[in-house]
Amino acid sequence: MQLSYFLQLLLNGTVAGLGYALIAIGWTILLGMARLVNFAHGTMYMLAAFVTWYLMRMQGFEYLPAILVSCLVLAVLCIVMQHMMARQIQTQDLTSIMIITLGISYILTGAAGLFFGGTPQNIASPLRALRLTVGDVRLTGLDLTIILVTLIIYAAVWLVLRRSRIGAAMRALAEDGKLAQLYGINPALLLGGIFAFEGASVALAAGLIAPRAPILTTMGFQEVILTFVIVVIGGIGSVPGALVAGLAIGIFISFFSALVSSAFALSAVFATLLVFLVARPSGFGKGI
Amino acid sequence: MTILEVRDLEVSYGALKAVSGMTFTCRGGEILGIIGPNGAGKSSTFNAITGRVEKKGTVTLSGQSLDGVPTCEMQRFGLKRTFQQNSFFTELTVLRNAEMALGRAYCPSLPALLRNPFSIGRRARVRIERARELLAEFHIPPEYGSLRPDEIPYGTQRLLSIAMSYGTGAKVLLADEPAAGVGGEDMEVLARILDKLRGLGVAVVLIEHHMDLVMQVCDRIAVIDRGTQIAYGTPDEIQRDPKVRAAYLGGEA
Amino acid sequence: MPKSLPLSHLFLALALIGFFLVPYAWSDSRVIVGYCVLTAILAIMSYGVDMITSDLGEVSLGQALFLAAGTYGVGIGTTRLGLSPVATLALSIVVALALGAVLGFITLRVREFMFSLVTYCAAVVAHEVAYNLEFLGASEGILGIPSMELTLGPFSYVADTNLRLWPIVFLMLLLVLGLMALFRRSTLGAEALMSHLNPDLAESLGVNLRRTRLKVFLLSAPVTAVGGWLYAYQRNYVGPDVFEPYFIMLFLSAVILLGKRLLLGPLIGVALILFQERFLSLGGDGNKVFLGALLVVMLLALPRGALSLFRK
Repeated sequence: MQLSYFLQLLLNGTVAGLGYALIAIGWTILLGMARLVNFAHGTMYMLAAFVTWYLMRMQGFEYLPAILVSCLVLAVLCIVMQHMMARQIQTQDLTSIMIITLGISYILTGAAGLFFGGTPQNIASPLRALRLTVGDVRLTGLDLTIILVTLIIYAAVWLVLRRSRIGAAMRALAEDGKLAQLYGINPALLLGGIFAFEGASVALAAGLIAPRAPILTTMGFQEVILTFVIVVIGGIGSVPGALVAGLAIGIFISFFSALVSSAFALSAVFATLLVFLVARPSGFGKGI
Repeated sequence: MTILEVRDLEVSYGALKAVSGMTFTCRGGEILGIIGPNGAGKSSTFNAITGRVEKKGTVTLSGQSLDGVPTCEMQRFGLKRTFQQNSFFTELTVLRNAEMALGRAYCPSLPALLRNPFSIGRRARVRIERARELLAEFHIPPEYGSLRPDEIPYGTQRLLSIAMSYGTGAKVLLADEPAAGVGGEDMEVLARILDKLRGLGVAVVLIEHHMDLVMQVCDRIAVIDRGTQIAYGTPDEIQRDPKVRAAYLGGEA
Repeated sequence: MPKSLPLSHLFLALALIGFFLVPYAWSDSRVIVGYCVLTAILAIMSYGVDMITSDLGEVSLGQALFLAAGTYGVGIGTTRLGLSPVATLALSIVVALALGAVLGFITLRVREFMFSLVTYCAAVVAHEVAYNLEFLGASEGILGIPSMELTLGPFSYVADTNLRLWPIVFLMLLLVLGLMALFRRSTLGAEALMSHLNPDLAESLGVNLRRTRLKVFLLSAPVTAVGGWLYAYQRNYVGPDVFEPYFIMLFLSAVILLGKRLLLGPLIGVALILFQERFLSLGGDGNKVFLGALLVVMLLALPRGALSLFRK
């Protein structure tokens, strides 16, 4: 293989992988800190993509404001979800929470179909027009943005968790809900913050990544799988683990799609997960 | 002869040493009490013996080591335990709870039922009969059978939890605070049941806070404070032990 | 319990006999006959979910795999291998059990939510595979599945209409109902229930939580596969649409709608949901919103099912 081809695949994989990691960060925090599984995550990604598209295409918004509004919408949606499931969250009824979020996911799929229709759409990000060349390797402004934003968000989350009072409270929340109060932070607000973060981060991810391909109201399932695989391999609750795992998976898919088959890339990823589960169920990072 | 021997038991949760140096023996037909302040490590001791947490030290039952035995296999050795809270199936009736406690002996396997589906009625009758006997053995009034555990008096709930763990029989019974929140008459019934278990040759290990009950029924007592065993002897010896008085009995009612 | 059996048994028998007679009473109405056949088939599938969710208390999102084993077993078995219905049934069950075994052993040691997530991912990935693999008909699926033809010596019975398929469908429904009833009265059923209601207590009573989950999961596989087997012959078509979220949503809703561990619960649940879909439809997307909302509202407001309104 030519070096330039190899490097291009590597770069594509890196961009895609960091993108997956950005999609996964909200879910990692939710699962690691609050021990909750949100099956609507992939559908929320789809919804955020469509909100962004709709604002840009139908309401004449610029790219960045559209993404910001979409982040707000999703954050609010997630907080609404949190309040709906307040009782189940308190009793740690994970079975019900899983089914409820699954139901919400289906509602969102139907609602998106009603509002946005069934035809594929495209988000026209102006960043894509920016073409850069590094040696023989090509990337767009959007690719660069994905890299930068993901690294910044991860660094920020990492710092907050490790260095701030909020972070300490969140880690205490993971251990025992009542302990969080020791840090003077209301656990209900903390939980709301975690949910809002999940919504906002997945919307941000959608705004940056969805422009790369057509969007459909039936999409979102692949994102759930990728997120899940990242979280498991990276270690449940491990922020750096998620970043590394995302990167690894992105690069894997890039090479696998180019050299073997793009249709079965996800299947290959899943097969890797299964092997992983048998060999090392607790992941690589320091989980909680 | 049933002998439960625990030697140098140690349980650590990360850096925290919850239990260390626990050593005691309980024979069939004896009641051993474990007392100590809250959080001293008493329940951890039970968890260690039944294999629910990692431990150091040795636990043997009648000479046979219980190392590596999974928790769900413990009952096959006759080792049973009650739980401090939530020690029954709250969604089922009291009678159904008792049926569950009888285990495989009275429940047909699926292949057996597929071969002979019409035996269901007979099997159910036999099982229900035995379940009623079990409830009666533990002084649970038969009219409570169709109620749910949270609908019966608290004292009777504690009796039910012992019945649930005893099931079709036990060689060793680890009872985790059976008298918690129990008073007066119910305490009397509890004492009688513990006595009956002793009479049946069961080795009973009892975690308790109610000093009257402990001093009344126990043959020997182990005292644990902040994870370490500080005394081990007969009720008289324990009551006279200065270390125990300082740590526990002195400031306790 | 023996004293109260006759009454509930009577109700059960009457309800089932009534259900059996409906297609014959309205045999001119293709809509009604089709509705009954589809209700029964989808109900059979949902009983697989029922034993995992109502009894074991876990959420298996991978039942689509077993459904697919059933349908594709017929698809491949008839068009490529020329197998008889009995043979395709055997093939379907074997494939379903194999898939169940692989997933079950892999998830043997993981926690509940991991089990749900892995089964979910397995279903999505299986969708991708079925969608892309030529051998399975890819996105088009396999068309031209022959109607079920049962032959015994010189006699043959071709189920080429819904009405003619109905006795076979109903028979399978009875068998599945019988299995559920026996399951609930067996050790496995009791152990599943115990692990659901109080895992710690169950363990100290000798229940091996992991093995119980595996066994119930394996038992659910052929049940759902049988539904898939019937589905293929009923539609004369097999395709990757069986992996769409519609099915798992339908199964979960049907299972929790009336209440847990009620023998006819899922059957009535499927009947009600299908009724809305066919006779009070809000359009494809509208129906999705309705079904999702039904599931969510039930869990939030009436977690013990609709019948809990009539109990204390």
